[in-house]
Amino acid sequence: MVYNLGRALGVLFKHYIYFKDERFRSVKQYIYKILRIGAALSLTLCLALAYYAYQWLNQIGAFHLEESRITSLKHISFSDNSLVFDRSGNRIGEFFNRYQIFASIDEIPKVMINAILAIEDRQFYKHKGVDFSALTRATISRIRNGKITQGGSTITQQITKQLILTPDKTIERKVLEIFWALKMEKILSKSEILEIYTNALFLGNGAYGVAAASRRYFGKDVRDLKLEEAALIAGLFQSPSRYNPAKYPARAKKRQKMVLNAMQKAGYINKKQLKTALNAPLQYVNYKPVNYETAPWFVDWVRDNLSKVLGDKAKKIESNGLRIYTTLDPDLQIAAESSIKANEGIFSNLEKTTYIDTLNESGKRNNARIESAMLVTDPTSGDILAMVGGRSYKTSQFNRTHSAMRSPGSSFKPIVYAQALLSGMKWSDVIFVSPVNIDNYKPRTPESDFLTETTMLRAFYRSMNTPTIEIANKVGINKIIQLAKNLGMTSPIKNELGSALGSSDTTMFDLARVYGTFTNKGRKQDLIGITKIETSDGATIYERPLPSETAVTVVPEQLAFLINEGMRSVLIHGTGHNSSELAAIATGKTGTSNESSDNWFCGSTANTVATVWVGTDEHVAIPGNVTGGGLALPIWDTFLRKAIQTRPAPIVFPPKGVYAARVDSQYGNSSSTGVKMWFFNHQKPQDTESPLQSIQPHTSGVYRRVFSH
Amino acid sequence: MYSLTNVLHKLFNSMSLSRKQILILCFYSSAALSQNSAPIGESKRPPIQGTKAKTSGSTDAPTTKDSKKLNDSDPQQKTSDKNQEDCLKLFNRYAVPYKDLWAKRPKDLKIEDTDGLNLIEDMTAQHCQETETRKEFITLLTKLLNQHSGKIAVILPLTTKIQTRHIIKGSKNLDPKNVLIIYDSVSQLPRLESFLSEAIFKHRASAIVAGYESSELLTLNEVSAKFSIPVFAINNPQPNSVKNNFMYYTHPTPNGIAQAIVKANKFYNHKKISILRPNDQHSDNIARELEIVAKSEGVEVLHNVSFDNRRADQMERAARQLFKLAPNERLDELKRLFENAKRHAAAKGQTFNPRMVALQPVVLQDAIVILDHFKSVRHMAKIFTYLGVRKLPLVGHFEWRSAGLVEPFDPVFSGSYFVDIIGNYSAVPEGLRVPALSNQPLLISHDKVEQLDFSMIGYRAVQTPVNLSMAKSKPRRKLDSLIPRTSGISAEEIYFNDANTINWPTYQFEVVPRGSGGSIILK
Repeated sequence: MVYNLGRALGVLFKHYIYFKDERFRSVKQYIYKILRIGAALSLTLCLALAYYAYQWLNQIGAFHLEESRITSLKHISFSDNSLVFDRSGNRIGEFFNRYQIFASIDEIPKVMINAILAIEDRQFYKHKGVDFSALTRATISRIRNGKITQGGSTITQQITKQLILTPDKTIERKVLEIFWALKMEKILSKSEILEIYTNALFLGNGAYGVAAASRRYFGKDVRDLKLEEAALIAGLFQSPSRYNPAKYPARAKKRQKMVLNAMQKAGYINKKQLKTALNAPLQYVNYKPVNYETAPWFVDWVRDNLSKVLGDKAKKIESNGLRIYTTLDPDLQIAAESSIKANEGIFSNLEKTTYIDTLNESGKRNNARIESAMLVTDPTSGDILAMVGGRSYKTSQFNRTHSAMRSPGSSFKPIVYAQALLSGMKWSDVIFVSPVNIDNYKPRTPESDFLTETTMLRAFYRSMNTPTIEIANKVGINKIIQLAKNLGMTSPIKNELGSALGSSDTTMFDLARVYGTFTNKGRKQDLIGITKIETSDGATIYERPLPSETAVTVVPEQLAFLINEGMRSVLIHGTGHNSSELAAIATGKTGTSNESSDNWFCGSTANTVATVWVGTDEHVAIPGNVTGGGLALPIWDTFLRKAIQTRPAPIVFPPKGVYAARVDSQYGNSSSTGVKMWFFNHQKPQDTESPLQSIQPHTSGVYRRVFSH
Repeated sequence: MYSLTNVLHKLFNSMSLSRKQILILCFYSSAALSQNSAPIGESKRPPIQGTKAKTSGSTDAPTTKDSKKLNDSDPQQKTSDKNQEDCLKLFNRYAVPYKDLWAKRPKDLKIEDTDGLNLIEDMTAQHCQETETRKEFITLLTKLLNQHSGKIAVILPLTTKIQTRHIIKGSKNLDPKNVLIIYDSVSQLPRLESFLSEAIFKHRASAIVAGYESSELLTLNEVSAKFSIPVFAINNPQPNSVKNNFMYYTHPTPNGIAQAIVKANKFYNHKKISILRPNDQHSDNIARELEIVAKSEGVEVLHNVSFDNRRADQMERAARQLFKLAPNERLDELKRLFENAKRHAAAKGQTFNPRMVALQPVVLQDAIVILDHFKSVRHMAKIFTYLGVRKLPLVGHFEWRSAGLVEPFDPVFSGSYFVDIIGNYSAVPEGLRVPALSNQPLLISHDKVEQLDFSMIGYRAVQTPVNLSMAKSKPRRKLDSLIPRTSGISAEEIYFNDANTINWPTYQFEVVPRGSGGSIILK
């Protein structure tokens, strides 16, 4: 406006010179007078207009553009996604508000730049932020057609519009856009402006920037884009939603053609290239978030756990380009998932006979969905190596390894027997297996076990309930609960004898910690998933402490060894017998809660603890006498056989202070044909045969047959 | 003879004839047959001629009735009708059984026949008419009935019943002069009879120890009676067995155990008892005796319930009967409990758990006698606890005596007691002694217990015969008078009661806590 006013005054001044000629004096004088008045009026008007324009511009802030708002755009590179990596450096997750992958201008291929410039701002390197001729063309076109038919905004203006101003369609916004664009061009270089443009603008499907769009539409790095692909992405800048190839492929193709033509017209490509590109098929990828690909429950858990690790620093985790390095072992994760999948058939069969309480449309009870979960940890470091929170993340994102409170059943028993050993009992101690009633608490045990006798070890590896309750009653449930907490249980444990049989709900995390403590020679490690967090420029803002610094000895190494060897017996002789082949390197314990609603197997090698659960989210009974040994153990077995391929199990040597002896498993006396039992050095199995051996179980045999010969 | 009497017994069963009556019939029948056959001259040998009669070293008579005839027999006296008649009576009384037994002697038995034993085989009633033969017969008979060598024949199924070896061991412990002659009957009756024949004819045994198998008792009873030879059976009398003064029973008796238990009940002032027993014959016998003895001693038996000690549910069911907890008892009370529990649960907002509702036991007895082994008893005690019976004296017998009763110790047994047929193991005869367990001085290793039991049975079985064997001057047929029958002697001494059964001494033990465990003390 000021410019036009100036030009008008110039014209008036030219006419004033012309009329000074004497030949036209009278006319001249008249006209001059008129002109003088007109000029005065015009000047007054112009000044008024200028004043008001200035006032208006001042009012809308055109003279108070903060430079910092422009310079801050240079730091767009910091507004990056946070990435999660497994222990091998593979990207397994991304946290973002906007899907962004920063690519510097040097990383963006020429073809991409050219495509953008061809369609969006051919004069980019020539104008100073505003292309007035293009702007005029666009204005005229708008006036003529009554609608926007061609864009007049430069790339710089578009940045201003998208990143500094609001998208309102007002005069004020447009004027400010010009001012901002002009100023931006003074502050930023063309490359910087282009870098901002190619990284910051929304290109559909959640992606911001060409690198993100390249990944999301074509599943490839921006550097690998082909001409036709670059053209498609360049076409998205105008209207990402309108030209979204995922939704409107034909429309996107038309737009791509437009871009390619523009490129050819601008001389970026020749006709041959144009033709080839036009005919090249576009290979879109289905967008599958990386978070879902490898370890979705783990990535979720990492996100939830970041705030715990970082504290206040965690507020910007989704947009500050953190690099989060985790403990996840990709091979074990695959092994864990495939092991659960391998049992799909069993789950499906069980679902046919397992019901929840709700009714379907035909009035019949709905079938329950059998769920399963697995958590794999490194007992020596507490590292979470694999996490499968359910059978299908798509079906249910509920993380059963961490968030489900389930009854551990007999998988709690190692704690009971550990306390028994601590209290002076030994594996060879004999217990009479009969119905038990302690303060009206009557645990169930298969009647076939009644009227027999057993050593404590046999009761353990056969997972007998009544002997366990008697032991718990003898050593005291309070002590057992305290030991459970020391070993790593964080869930509340009810102060009642039933807890000894696992009646208090707990999490898989808790069990993994407890079993990990036994496996790690009595040293407790908290479970961790994050080893290091860096900013995108490589600065470390968190690093886990060394495992040796975090390990806390909670039970003597000898006790841990004795319990572990007891759990080896579970595999050799007991409820885990179906996996006895693995007993040379592994130990473990089954667990089955009431009515088989929870079925566990918690097992470990010296460097890997794997905890498996099978049940239903509704806690309903699973019929068919299923057990942890029958349901969870096969999954664990499958997993471990795969796991040891990449993670061989070290040999475990007994610590000082323990020794092994062969002991009759039922009567507790030394016997060369008995089972191997481990003892503290100060303990000793009975030397002589038990008197109980004079009476065979399940016979009416009598002792001292004085009257029955 | 045994088989024959058995057949006849069955035959005459309907005629209500006792086995004794049948035997008499057999005896006379065979005698008659012998008489009838004699004239035909079918004997293998002609009547023995010129066999010199040898007078017995003894002046006593074989039996009370016949002895007079035997003693009064005068060889110098001419044949008379009366002598013939006496001879015939003797023939009928003894010759037939001797003939039978002689016929059963081992085929390869070699006997130096200085006494004319062959006469027995050939003797017929007709020979009573011949003076010389008659004299020979009477002389031989006198010798057989009176003379005894001091040897004791022990006839046991050594190869078929392993525990009899321990009986032999116990027997030999009392055999410093090597008077025992050991035979292996292999649990076969013909072999027993064969060895009896050898023992009587060849060895002139003073007494016989046998009868480990119940099936042997009838034969032994007959032999002891007919040959007036003391027989000590390692067994209890059979029901309806005929008592005779030469047949004795040396085995501990159910009655003896019952007496001991009731005595202990009274010692602890337990006047009301219940009996639990496994369903086997010997426990049933003891329980029956216990009921009888308890009644006679003023101890009330509230229950006598059997169970299958192989099944926990059966044991629980039996236990429930003792405490009025049987499924259909106290139904109204149970319903009230359920309703109360439901109300309480609802009031507290808790889930009603029917498993927490249980009737309280009604304990009316002062003690419970469990006639089963320690292992079964320990399980039964846990079932009692399961049913809510926390503290009740338990009473048992010899099958309780084991370290298994007190190790590991269950405090519920504190104050319980039992009886046994052996006292302090250190007090058993020296040759049989077994070292006690280091931590339980009244117990020995379980694998030695039964051996010692049978050794002690063997020891007790020969104790009296050995004493008898030393009285060689006493005619064998009079040895029964030397068998001790009084009860005024010490518990360690042996005597026999009116039923000819032995008085096994019994001992009373109590379970007491000791430190963290338990122990057994002798009361």
